[in-house]
Amino acid sequence: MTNLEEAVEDFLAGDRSAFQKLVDATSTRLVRLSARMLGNMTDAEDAVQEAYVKAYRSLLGGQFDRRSRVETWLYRIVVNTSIDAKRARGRRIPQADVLVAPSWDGGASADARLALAELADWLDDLPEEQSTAIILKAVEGLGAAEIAEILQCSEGAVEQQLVRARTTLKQRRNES
Amino acid sequence: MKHINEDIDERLERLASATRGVRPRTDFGARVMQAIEHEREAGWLQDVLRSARRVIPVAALAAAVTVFWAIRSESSFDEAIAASLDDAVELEW
Repeated sequence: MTNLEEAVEDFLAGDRSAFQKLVDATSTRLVRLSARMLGNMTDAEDAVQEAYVKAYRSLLGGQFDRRSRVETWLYRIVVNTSIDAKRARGRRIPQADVLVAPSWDGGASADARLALAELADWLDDLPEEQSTAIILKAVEGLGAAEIAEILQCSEGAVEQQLVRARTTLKQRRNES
Repeated sequence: MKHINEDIDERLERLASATRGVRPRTDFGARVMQAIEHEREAGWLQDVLRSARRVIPVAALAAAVTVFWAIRSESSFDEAIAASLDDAVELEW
């Protein structure tokens, strides 16, 4: 049993403080994933916070069926919450976060923030499922099986989304 | 503009590498736990309200029965008083 699974077991056994262990163990990866999807740290932290609240409710409501690994389940919640956040804000990428704010103490350097904005801007025209699939595969480095579990589709569908995404990006590159 | 001469995989690799060091701010965990605490309090309040909603019809019925019983008791009491007063008057006469 992994540390995350133990934390979930402890939580379900009534130890509510075990949720803190889940947050401590996963927040860096999840905020990074969300930032790569949303293009900035501020929106990413908001989305991941909301995702943790959803996860907390799900655990309390007995909706985590343990068919997936805890990490995959959290990834799924963060991906869906980030997609919702992206839809809610439209295509706007907040420039304030792209520019370096000296008072901001987040763990992203100016270069990293510019790279996040570049990634979001580059993939912005792709359909959500294609941009999500390419981020999970080529940026996060996940395998097709895990991506399929996160996106709740078949591995074949993931491969298809990846091929389509690459074709669109290649076409756009040739046009420019 | 680095990406003009890059192919898709190179650009993805460069952006993955450039964003690898991204992490939340140091107080992020505390902020999340605070949100969870709010959720817990809101959940407790909702549980109370939900329970209260179930109890309201029962309480309303109990109140109606109590009022009905009180009115009936009062009229019975009045009748008893009147009867006893009549008896008393007769006795006095």
